[in-house]
Formats: sequence, C-alpha cells, structure tokens
Amino acid sequence: MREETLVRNLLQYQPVLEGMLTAMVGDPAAAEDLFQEMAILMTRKREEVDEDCKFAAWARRIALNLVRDHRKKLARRKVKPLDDDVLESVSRVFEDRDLDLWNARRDALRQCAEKLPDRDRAILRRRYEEAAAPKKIASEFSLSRGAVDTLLYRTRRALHDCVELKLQEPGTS
Amino acid sequence: MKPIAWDWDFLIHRHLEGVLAGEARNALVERLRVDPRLRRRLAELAFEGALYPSLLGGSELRPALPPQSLTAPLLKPAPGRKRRKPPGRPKSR
Repeated sequence: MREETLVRNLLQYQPVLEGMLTAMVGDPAAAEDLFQEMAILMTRKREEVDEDCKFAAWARRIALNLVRDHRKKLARRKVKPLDDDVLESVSRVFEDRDLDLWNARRDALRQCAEKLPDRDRAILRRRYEEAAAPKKIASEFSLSRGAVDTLLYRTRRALHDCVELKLQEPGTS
Repeated sequence: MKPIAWDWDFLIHRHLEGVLAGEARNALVERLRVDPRLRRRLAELAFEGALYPSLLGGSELRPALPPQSLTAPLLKPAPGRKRRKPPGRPKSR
C-alpha cells in the first residue's frame, strides 16, 4: 500500500479505529496510545498489503493483535480489555459497518453537540478533551463528584439518543 | 433471589470511562458475548466518545472560581489542552 493511501485511510478511519480500541480496552488514554502504536505498525507493514486491501479488516487484525500482546502492559496501568472472544465480536462491528455510516453518525453527533448547554459542554471538554479527573471537575464547577458522574452519563446517553433520532430523519444514511 | 436488572447503558458508560470492575464488568462481558444489539450499542457509544474531543470546542464558559487560589503566584501556566503521556507511562486520573 502506498504511503499516501495509508495516510488517507488513517485520517478517514481515525475515529472509527479510536472508537474500536476504546470499546476493546475501556480506557480512552490507553486507546489513544494504542492508536499511535497501530499507526506506526501499519506504516512499517504497509508494503505487505495490497493497495486495494480492505483497510478496516486489516486495521481490525492489527488492533486485535496489539490489544492481546499488550494485556500485561495494560494490566500494569490497571486497564482490563474485554475477553478475547468478545474482542473479536465487538471489533467486527467496526469492520462490518461502512465508513459512510460512521461519517453520518459523526455529522449527526456534531449537530447534537451544538445543542448542549454551555455548562455541560464545558464539563465534557474538561473531561474528554483535557482529561481532567471527575473529582477535579467537581471542585471547579462546585458540584459533587456524584453529580459530575451522573452528568457525564446522562449527556453521553442524550447525545446518543439525539444521534439516533437524526439518523432516522429522511435524507440521512 | 431475583437476578440483577442491569442498566446496560450505564455499564457501557463505566467501561468507556475505564472504571468498570467486578460483578458489573463480568455481567457486561457475558451480555456482550450473546447480544449483538448490545455489541452494536457499545461500538456506537465508543465511536461517539472518540469524537468528543474534536466536537466539543467553542464554549467560553469556565468555572466560576479559577482552580488556583487567590494567593497563587502570578506567573502560572494558562490552562490548556493536556498532553497525553507517551506510551508506556501509566496515566493517573
């Protein structure tokens, strides 16, 4: 696979691959580190695959091997990936769904995120962009730790429900 | 004894936060094994979560009180995007 093809695919598939790794290991920071390792590995191995190979399938195999090979290292970080058989079946969802459908979900999420109240958006930014601990966010926003945990859960769920409604609208994938 | 009625969305959320453990984790893993709908839901929520950092920008709202105390030195670094630690170093939350 040519370098430019690999770069284009990595950029197009980045949220899909990061989502897949997060689903597999249950830790966003570990998933981000694994994505970087995955990109490096794919760069080294790009000449072993054809130009028109199914990128999602190749990426899934690499992700599965990476997560399995890193179990001990992840355990030292107190990260516990899903069991092997479940890794296979969960990662397959990412491979089987067309990139266009993931992109439609991304576009719907962007529209839904714009409707978030300012405070909720600020809390989500602190948590998911700036990686602040919930305890720290609680003190910054004069909330209890439990209130922050609840807000994060409810907002994640509300965004997902909003996305599902948008995807059912006529004219969307 | 009645079986526990798990809130699967909540368990998925805890898994994606990196804090799911014990009986709840075992329950989610067992359910993911047999329920393709739940696997799809986990995949979708994980994908959406991966997009949060890029989609949540733009709000100027900051907490009412700054994190540092009023007696802190003037020359403190401005809050900004926290760099993730490089691979191999454990991340503390």
